[in-house]
Amino acid sequence: MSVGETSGPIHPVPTERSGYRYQFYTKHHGLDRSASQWLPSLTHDQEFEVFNTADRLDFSDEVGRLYGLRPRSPDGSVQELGTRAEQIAEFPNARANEAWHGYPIWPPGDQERRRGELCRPSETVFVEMEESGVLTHGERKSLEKGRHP
Amino acid sequence: MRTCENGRQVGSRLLKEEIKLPDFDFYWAGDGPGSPGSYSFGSGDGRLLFTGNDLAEVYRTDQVVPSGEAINGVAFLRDWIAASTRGEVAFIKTGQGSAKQFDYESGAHHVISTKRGDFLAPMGVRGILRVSPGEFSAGRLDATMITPTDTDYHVYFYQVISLFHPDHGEILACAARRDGFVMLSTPDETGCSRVRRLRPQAYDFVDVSALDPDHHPFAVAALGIDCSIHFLRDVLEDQIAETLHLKLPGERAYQILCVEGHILLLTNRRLYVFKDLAARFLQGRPISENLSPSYLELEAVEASLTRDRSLLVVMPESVFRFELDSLIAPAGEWVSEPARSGVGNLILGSYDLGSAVGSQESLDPDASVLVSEIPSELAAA
Repeated sequence: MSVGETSGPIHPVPTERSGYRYQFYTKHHGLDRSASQWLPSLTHDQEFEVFNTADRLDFSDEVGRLYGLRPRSPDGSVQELGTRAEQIAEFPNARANEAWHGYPIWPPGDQERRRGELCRPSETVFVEMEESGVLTHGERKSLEKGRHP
Repeated sequence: MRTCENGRQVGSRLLKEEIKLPDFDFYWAGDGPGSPGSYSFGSGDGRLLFTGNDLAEVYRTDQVVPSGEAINGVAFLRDWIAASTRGEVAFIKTGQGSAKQFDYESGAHHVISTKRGDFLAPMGVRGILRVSPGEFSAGRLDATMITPTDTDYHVYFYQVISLFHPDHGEILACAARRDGFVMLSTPDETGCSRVRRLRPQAYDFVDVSALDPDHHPFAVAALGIDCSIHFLRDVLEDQIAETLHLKLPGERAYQILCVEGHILLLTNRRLYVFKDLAARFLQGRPISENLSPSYLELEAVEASLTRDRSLLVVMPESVFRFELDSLIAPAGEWVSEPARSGVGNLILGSYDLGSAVGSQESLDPDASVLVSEIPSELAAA
């Protein structure tokens, strides 16, 4: 499926830090059931905020992919953002002058394997999230093991 | 550093030991390969460490997984070791001669060994990897991926246990998050399994445990992330699951462990001990009355029961070992009053769950859905 068939609206505001634009892919909003899906209850603004925070705090891996989480819930837990209870979103690098996009991902990675790519957040990302205070050490351990914190 | 600490509370004793090493960040803990009382541990960088019952280090390996990721499961079968991470599952043949290793390059949530003589590793939407090292020959290791044949039938395989009876074969019971609690029968001659599924709305199934493998081989308890416990006496025949809704505000369930008729529930904040709850269910007695579990306040990562009747609890910075008998002491003996007392860095308590609610949920048989085992093979690393 080409990008053209899955691309949706672009968020009106760029990210605060890098000025990245963000596009909502219909593929991850109900069009392709085999792909991971954002929670239907998540608004476009909330989805963009996951991306904006990932960029602001620079939760990036060795090749520049960004990873984000939702703000904690009122009871302090790491909130889900995907329909399969995913709690992390991946934002693969966009080409220059193109909008970014993202999708929920499990730490073990349930996306189709792509040649030469890990298909899971690297340890670097979890270290960054812990060092920034977004995750505790115990939560980082759970996510690194592929368990829900 | 290893510390040992005895906390005495109103006639009962909670025995806790701790293992903490400066150069080994504990991510997984469980039984060792030898006799009961040997333990194995997995690190955040893909190494294994083995100890005796005294938690003194016996041996440690270098990195056993190519990715160097955190170990999230270790299982043993004869002279084989399987170690899983979110990047791969490694199968290592030990024993006489040079060691051989086979790596399956897909991440798993954990790995277990079964009475049937297999390793099983749940891999999310991909399915469950089954590897039978008994069929190892000529430098190849056969593997199959257990996955629904109907691509519209979505199951996220998160945790799996193997239930076995000599007359009825093997049943796989799977916590499949929002896809329900799924049971797969032994494949028939065409390689297809029958599927049963418990999928009440709004439940997120995160773990499953056998209740009494020796006397009730197909009795299980499945755990919802909302701390609901769903009981089945016979996953093959029951039409209704009995559900216990525990009201634990702000807590998310991690694991359920059943042992000797008792149930241990690990949440993000506490370890609860429900004395005799599994036994009461299996005896047909009410399960939602007079619930007053003991608990420990601890923010654990994971827990594992071992064959020497210990509970290993992976903490953010170390591993605790509890003697099972000390955990299962009558709740009233841990504390005499609602007031809580500290034992080291643990808080003990007795929880009033008088408001727990029981209900029944129907099973969706999903009889028409087939699950196939797709063969593949692993080459030596």
